[in-house]
Amino acid sequence: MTPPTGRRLVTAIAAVLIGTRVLAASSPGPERQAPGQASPEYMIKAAYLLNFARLIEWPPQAFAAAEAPITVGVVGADPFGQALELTFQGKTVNRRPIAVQRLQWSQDLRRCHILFVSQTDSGRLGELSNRVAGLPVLVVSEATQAAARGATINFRIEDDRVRFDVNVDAAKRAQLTVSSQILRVATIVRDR
Amino acid sequence: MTLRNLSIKRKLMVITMATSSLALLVASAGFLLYDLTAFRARMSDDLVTQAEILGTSSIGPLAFQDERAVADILAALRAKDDTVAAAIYAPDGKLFAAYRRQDAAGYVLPPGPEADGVRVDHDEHLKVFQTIRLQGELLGTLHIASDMRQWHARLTRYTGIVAVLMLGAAFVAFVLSSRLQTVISEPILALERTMRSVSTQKNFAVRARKANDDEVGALIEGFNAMLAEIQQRDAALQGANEDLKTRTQELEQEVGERLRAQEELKVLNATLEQRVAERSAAAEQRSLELARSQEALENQTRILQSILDSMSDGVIVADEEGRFILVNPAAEDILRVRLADAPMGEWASRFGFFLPDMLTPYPTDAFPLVQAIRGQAVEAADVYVSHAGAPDGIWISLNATPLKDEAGVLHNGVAVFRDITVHKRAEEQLLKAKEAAEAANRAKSQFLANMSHELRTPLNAIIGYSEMLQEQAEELEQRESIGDLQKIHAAGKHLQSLIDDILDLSKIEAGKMELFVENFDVAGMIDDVVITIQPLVEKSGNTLRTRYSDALGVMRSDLTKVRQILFNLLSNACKFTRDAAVSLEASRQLDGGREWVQISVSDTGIGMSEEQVERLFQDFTQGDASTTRKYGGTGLGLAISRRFCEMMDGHISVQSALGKGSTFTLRIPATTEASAAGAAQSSRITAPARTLPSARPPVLVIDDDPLVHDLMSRVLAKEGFDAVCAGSGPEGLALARSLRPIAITLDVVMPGMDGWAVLTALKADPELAEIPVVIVTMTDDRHMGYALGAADYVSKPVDPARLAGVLRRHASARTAASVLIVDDDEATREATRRLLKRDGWNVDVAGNGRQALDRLRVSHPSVILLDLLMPEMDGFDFLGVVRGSDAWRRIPVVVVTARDLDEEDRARLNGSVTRVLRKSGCRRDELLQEVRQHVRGCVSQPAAAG
Repeated sequence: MTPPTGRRLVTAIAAVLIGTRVLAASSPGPERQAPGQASPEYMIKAAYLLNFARLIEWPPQAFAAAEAPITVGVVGADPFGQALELTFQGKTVNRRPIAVQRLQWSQDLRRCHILFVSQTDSGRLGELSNRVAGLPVLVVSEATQAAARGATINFRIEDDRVRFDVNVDAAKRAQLTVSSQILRVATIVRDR
Repeated sequence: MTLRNLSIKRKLMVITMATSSLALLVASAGFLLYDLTAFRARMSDDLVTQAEILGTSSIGPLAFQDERAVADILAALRAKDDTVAAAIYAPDGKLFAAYRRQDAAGYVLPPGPEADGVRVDHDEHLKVFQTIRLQGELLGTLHIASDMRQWHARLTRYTGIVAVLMLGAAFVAFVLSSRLQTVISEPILALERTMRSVSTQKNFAVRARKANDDEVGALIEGFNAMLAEIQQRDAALQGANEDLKTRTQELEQEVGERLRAQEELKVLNATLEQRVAERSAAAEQRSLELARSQEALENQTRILQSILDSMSDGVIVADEEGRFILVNPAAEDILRVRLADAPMGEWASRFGFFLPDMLTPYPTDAFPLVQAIRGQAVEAADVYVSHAGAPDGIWISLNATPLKDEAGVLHNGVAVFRDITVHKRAEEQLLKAKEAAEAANRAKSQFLANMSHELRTPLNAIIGYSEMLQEQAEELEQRESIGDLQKIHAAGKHLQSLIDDILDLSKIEAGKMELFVENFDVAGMIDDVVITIQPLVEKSGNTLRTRYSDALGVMRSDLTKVRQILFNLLSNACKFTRDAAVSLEASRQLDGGREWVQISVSDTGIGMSEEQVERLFQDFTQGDASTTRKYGGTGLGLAISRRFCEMMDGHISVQSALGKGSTFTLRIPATTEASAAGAAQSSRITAPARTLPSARPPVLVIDDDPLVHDLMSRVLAKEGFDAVCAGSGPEGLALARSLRPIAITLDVVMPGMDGWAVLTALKADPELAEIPVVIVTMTDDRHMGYALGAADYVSKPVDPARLAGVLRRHASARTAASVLIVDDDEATREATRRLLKRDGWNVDVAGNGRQALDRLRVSHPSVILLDLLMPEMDGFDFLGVVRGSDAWRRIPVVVVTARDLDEEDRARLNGSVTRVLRKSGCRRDELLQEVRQHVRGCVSQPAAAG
């Protein structure tokens, strides 16, 4: 793996060249994003979250009713801006709407189906995985090597593209069935 | 040279070749077309399947924008030779990834995605578009293009194969057809050859060879059959010639045989003659035997004949033609006529046969002998015979029987009869004697009825006048004659009761006594008798004690007879007891499933010995002959009582001891089943009396108190008035208008319309003003009442006697009512007239019906007292006229007669008289009471009076 500083540099150059593929990594940071706007990187991550919801199967007990919404929770810092709302608007997964919740660490996290932990809060990833251990919760993070630290899916940037790792053991623990369509493009990670 | 003119051989070959080649060509072309189409369809299917597989596997890479992965997937198509190119377009239509076969430079990828599906592009390429979606969201469109190389290769290859096959097939067809055509052409050619030989050589024995069983075979067969027929005819012609010759020879032979048979017949005839001779001898023998049996038969016939001749009964046998086959001497002796044959229809007239009525000639069809000839047996039919030879007539009793032969076939009839003239004459005399006896009986009954009338009429006068004379003597204080008159009166009474008893008894004896059953109240009846007997009880110094319960109820029996029995028992008791107690007890009992009324009368008189008791109920016997002299009486009373009792199914018994008195017990069924006629009669005579127009008008009681209604009704009923009650003034006025009462009693104090108002209203109505009103009140306000028009004043509590007196005075004093007495007996008429006159009536008299009608025309009596037996016009006829007239119909008629009414009389009087009184039983008071009642009824009925 390349050091993060080096990769950021490369990413910035590529963004200038490709235009549309410019990633948020070069942007000043999520905290400084103007409200209502979304960086391209997080638009892509939001779309990926939607596709995860579509291609991962939760156990039936994870939902109160047949058309109960899939809840996507963002714990702690929120780098998405309006990206999640823009992406999920009018979309359903197996006729379930998708709800977005922004949560503090002190709140009950267990009611979410997908929990996103940003780079900023990645230090508390271990704590999070303990809190939702054994529950059908898909923990998605974007910290380096996060998949080995409790997250089921970990975003990373590779060749200016958003790629991800999937910890299949973590998925299994969370009783989540991950489609081969995901595995086909993901880097498979296992517990050490 | 056209096909038509080719030889059969060539034709067959050409046809076979052409047909098989064409068929093969069409089949090959069809197969080729099908195969190529199917191949192309398979190619399309393969391509679609491939697109689907590729599309599905690229969902993930597309969803996560992995171009490399997409490119890898498309590159996998390299394995497929015919895939020219493949591409995936992004949802925005831009090319996302592409693959191109190296040698396929000629194919240009479409600039953007097209609609899903497979299509062929210029027979060069097969193109497929397939959209890729994840949960409905378009991820991209896959495009695959395939060239048609394989297909074209297949086309070329198959065409070559077909060409080679065609050539091979044509060759094989040529070889086979050139061989096989001989199967058809050869037999035809052979036939043609045969025909030619037959026609040239005229040889009909030649035959064509039949090789196959097909149409050509049939043709050959037909040809052969034709040849055979010709050959056979030829042969038959020759055969017929031969036959003709043989036949001629046979005929000659037959003629010879016939001649021989004739000879044999002659021999047979000779044998037959001999046999006939033998048979005649046997017949002679048989006729001898027949003669012997005939002799025996004649013997028997002679015996029968002598029996018939010696019989006293007549016997005739005749057949249906009217021929007399057998007539014995007795028959003609009895009938005193010569029986010559005659048709059956003339027998009655010729021989004088009549029906038993002695007038009607016997109808032919009914005549016994005729019926017998026709098959019907008749027994003991009486026939009267009368003709010139027997002017006095002969009666015969005749039996007739059909005669049949052994086979049962009817031929004749036989009649056997005897003279019964003597019996008939005796019978006739018997009948006459019976009629005479019946006439005598009728005369006796008539005599009895007349006697009752004739005896009673003078007695009535004697008794009536002696009563009146007594009263006069008492008034004039002629003491010495009073005693004499009393004796005359007593003797008359005695005689009267004697006559009544004798007549009753003789009626019973003659069976003329009838029961008139009706329903009546037992206690009421006893009360009646007790009141009647009271003077006798007092005269003998006795006291009468009665004891009976109210539960006696109603009995259905002959009231008059029960009363008479009871009266007789009580008067006997009084006769034989002096200064003692006579007691009467009555009860109702259930015995043997029947209800009985038992009445016993006890006295403490002289009593009777057992011997006397035994003779007690015999006719004309008293306890002792001396008693009759001492106590009077006919001694018939008990006998009559017993007879009456028995008529009503009851009985009478006595318990007695000398010197200790006697107890007579009478037991009668509560319900007597009278003879139907008697019962019907009695109900008819009693029923209409209630509906007679002269039913007396009532007294109207107007009072608001129901208790007063009840009280007044009873008081008035006792005094002989009917009461109708009204509870208020208006009701009273309405009733007064509809009923026209003879008097009104009126209460003053009433709610609503008070008595004064009612009285004013009554007097204001001209129709009601005449009705006397009696004020019945507790208030003493006489002046007010009289001022308003009241007739009288009675104060409450009401004194019944005073009320009755007042009512009677006002009810009857209103008009001078008149009575018409119709009686032929001067004495009776006069006695009655005087009696009524003294009671204050206007009296008119008439000697018979005709005079009475004359009187009616000038005066209008309130009531008519009518005798029935009168000269010129009797009571029945008079009644008929009166009831038939509108003016007189409503006048009440009281029949006063000495005649005992029988059923017929009652039927004639039915409904037209008000009441029947018997002269002897009629006391003066009773008569007066009747007259008063009816007059009261009439006078208050203006319609009737007018």
